[in-house]
Amino acid sequence: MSSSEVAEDDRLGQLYRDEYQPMLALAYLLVGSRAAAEDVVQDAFTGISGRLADVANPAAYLRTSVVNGSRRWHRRLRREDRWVAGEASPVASGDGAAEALAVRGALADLPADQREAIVLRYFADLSFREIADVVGCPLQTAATRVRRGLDRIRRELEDRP
Amino acid sequence: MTMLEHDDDVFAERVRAALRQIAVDGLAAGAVPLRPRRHWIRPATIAAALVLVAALVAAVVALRADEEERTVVDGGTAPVRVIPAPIPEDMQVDRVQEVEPSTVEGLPRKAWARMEDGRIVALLMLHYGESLDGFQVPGARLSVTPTTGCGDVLLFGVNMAEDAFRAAADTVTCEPADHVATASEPDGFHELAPEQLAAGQWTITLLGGSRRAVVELRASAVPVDPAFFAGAQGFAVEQLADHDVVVSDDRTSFRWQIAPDIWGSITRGDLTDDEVAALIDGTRAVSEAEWQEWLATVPVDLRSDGPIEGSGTATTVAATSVPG
Repeated sequence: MSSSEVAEDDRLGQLYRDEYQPMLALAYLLVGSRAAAEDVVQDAFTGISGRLADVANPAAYLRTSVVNGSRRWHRRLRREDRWVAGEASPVASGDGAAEALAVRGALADLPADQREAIVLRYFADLSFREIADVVGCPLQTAATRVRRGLDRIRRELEDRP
Repeated sequence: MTMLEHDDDVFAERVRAALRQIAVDGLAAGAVPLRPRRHWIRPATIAAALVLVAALVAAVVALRADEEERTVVDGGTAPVRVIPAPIPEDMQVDRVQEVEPSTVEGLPRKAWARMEDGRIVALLMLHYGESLDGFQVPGARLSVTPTTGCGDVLLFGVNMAEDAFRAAADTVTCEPADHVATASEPDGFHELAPEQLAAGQWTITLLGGSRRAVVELRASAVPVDPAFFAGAQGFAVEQLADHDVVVSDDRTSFRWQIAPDIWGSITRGDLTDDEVAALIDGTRAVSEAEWQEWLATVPVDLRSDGPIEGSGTATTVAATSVPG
């Protein structure tokens, strides 16, 4: 292995240590399945390996890869708008647990584009501009998706007993 | 004070906190691996490849049977009928699809076999799939590599020497716009038609309104021999309800033999292990008359739904679910 390959390998390892868990969480919120999320994130890291030197912002690159990978996963299921809400990953008890459970259910019912927008906005803390860049839509569309997604979550919660 | 009583900003903050808790709790049990895995491949891709291998073996059995003027495996005229039983009380049949042999999902675009004494000893296939790098599956002697210029078409080799496989990969040509890939026929191989590889296929989707479960029960004459999966990455063979069942490593899919020429698979949705076992044990092959009788009991509004994705001539019948 050459010195440049060693350096690349070290960078990939560091990136993996820094970004694996955040990307796994992002993917999990998008697909609702830990196993699927691991696949999506592994795809993203494998995709960036070997080209780290050419990527200006590896974290952003990974984030976009995770969003795209999550979309592919949904397409494979041919259930574009069905998040796997039923996977056995119960929200722990304690403060906020009931709300988290309710939001989890509401998230499952969102259209995929609104789910992406909500997760990127309120979990990944991206601006509307950044969301638009990641999902490949106009800025106004990103903002609208966040707004509609939030409204739908609110209505879902209101309709629940 | 509840979440609903807050204004938009506070509501957004609570959603933010809820998302973080969902992620933390959902991922809490798993350890983080220290390094990215190299040469990683999706178990689903391996499954598809191994099913193809089994299908190709079956095709050769059929060809040999024709020569002997008796039928062992029907090349696609006999419908595959299965009835899932029992269906969990809070679920119902949502969709029933029949797919014609030539459009069964998972068939390769091109396949070649090398045979000795009437048996396949090596295979080469061009097939859609998802791969990230060349790799070998221990036990299955399976090689996979992406094709140049046609990213979602892979070249699969089974029992091929590495140099022969690489040479074959060099001959692959592709028309990306049409996703048409082909390769030169390797010395000693002959081509098999996809239509020779599978009989019909039924898919029954169960939908649970209260559970949001999506359970697909698929019956097919494409064999899924557990032996092909033994030792392959991401798969195990388990005994479940007195059946040898091929289980993916995340236990989201189960494959087993229903009858001599009928193989089933379940994508579990949110079914429990007991419910999966009950479905595997209760699903049975039936006659056309029994099938029609069962279909009449399914509380669905049947409608034509056109071809399924990627097919061209598939006959599809879909059913809308009845709110539970």
